[in-house]
Amino acid sequence: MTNVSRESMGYLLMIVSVPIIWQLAVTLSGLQPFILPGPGIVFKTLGNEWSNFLYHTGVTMYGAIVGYAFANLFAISIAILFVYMPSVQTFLMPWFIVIKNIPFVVIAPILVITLGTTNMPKFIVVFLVTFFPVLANVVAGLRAADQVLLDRMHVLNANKWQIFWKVRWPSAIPYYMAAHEVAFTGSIIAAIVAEFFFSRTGLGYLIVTAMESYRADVLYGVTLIAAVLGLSNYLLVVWLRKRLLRWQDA
Amino acid sequence: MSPAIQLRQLSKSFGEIEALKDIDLDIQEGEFIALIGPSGCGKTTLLRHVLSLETASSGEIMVGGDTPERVRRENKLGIVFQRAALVPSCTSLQNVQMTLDITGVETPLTPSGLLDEFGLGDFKDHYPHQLSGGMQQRVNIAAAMVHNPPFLMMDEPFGALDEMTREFMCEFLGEVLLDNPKTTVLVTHSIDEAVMLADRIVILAPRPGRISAIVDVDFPRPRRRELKTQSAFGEKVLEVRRLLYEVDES
Repeated sequence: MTNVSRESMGYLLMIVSVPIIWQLAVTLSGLQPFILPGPGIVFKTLGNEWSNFLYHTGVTMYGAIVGYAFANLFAISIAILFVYMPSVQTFLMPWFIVIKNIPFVVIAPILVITLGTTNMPKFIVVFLVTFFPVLANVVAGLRAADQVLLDRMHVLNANKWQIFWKVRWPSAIPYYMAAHEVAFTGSIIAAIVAEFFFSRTGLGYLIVTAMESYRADVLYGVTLIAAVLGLSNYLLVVWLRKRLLRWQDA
Repeated sequence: MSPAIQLRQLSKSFGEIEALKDIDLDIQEGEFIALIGPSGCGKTTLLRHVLSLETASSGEIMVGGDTPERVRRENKLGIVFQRAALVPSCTSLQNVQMTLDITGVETPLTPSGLLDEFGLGDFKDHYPHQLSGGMQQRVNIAAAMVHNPPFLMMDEPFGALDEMTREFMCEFLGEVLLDNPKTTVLVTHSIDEAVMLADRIVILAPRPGRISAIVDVDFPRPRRRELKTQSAFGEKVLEVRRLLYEVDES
């Protein structure tokens, strides 16, 4: 069996096992369905209210993707600035370290007060959570460029543009992909948490209202959706990395 | 005719340390010079001056009647480091082609033809990590020569290779240079290698880095490895070794 089909077998096995273990837990624990609903009830809820779930999932994904896109754009631009103009780093680093270390759950209410119940607070929370890991990794990757290659480029009279595209950026790609693995899933977590505070839509909102009305079936439904989203994100990144770093397996 | 490379009272200090002091050396066009000496004697530093990777603290250095910086801008320099300066995500052919892409030089040599000549015809589409150390170094030399530079600088190019590969590469380099004559400077730790390849061996002494002796080597070319079994070769090696010991004891 090849490694790929072995890996898919593992995932398949897990997908089949989850409802079985779940049902076992329900039966053995004897907990009431309004505390621990079985997979049958949860899948029925998902089926009956699918358009509602889909809508809120879409809202959360939208917030996560927009925030994440901006985080990437800024992180990569600033990483390039850091590498080519170290004085920018000297100036910005203290700011970044302070912002990074304020827990984002503290920032979120302030953003809501300031910006109201628009999408902006959510974008900003997602941005804050994902910006720093991408920045740190891209900077490390650009700096990890092989000194011998840089010397060769210098002797060949390469311009900055050529050095960036042929040496620095290729060296940063593996680091960048490693950041995606963590940060892309983080963007969904951040979007959901941001929705806890103020939103009238999104998976976070669904969680809050389900809790208030003791709808355990909805809570478990959201959990399933979040798990599927997180896993698909992860698999997407892994697939993308395989494609971009094809040469490593050649 | 004026020498191809001229060093006049070349000195270089890194803080308190005098890496090079009052180096005077004339290298003729097409000549092969080997630089040898104990570690810390400034061999690599001297080479890096010719490549314009370092600037002299005092003294003068002329390459082809011009400053190293100007010669570099005219793409007249080729460089081979000990570690192959290859982009890991590019194939052998792409790595050699890169030199032409960057320099924009037109030459009768083609990357593909050069790799054929270097015995790498079947490995053009291989990535560096798929090649042995000796093969990587041949790709590296091809990448350094494909734009047909009149000056070829080599910093311990075979230092990381095993003894047999090293011998083969020595013979190989000698033949390549017979077909494509260049003014060559080779930094090496190996006396055998120096005697095998050089027209003159320059012995450097450390602290401060200075020229301690120059040995002429006038074996006819092409020099095959059988030369190593002859007593004249052994005597030359002995002569260089004695001079190196004197440096060590002084």
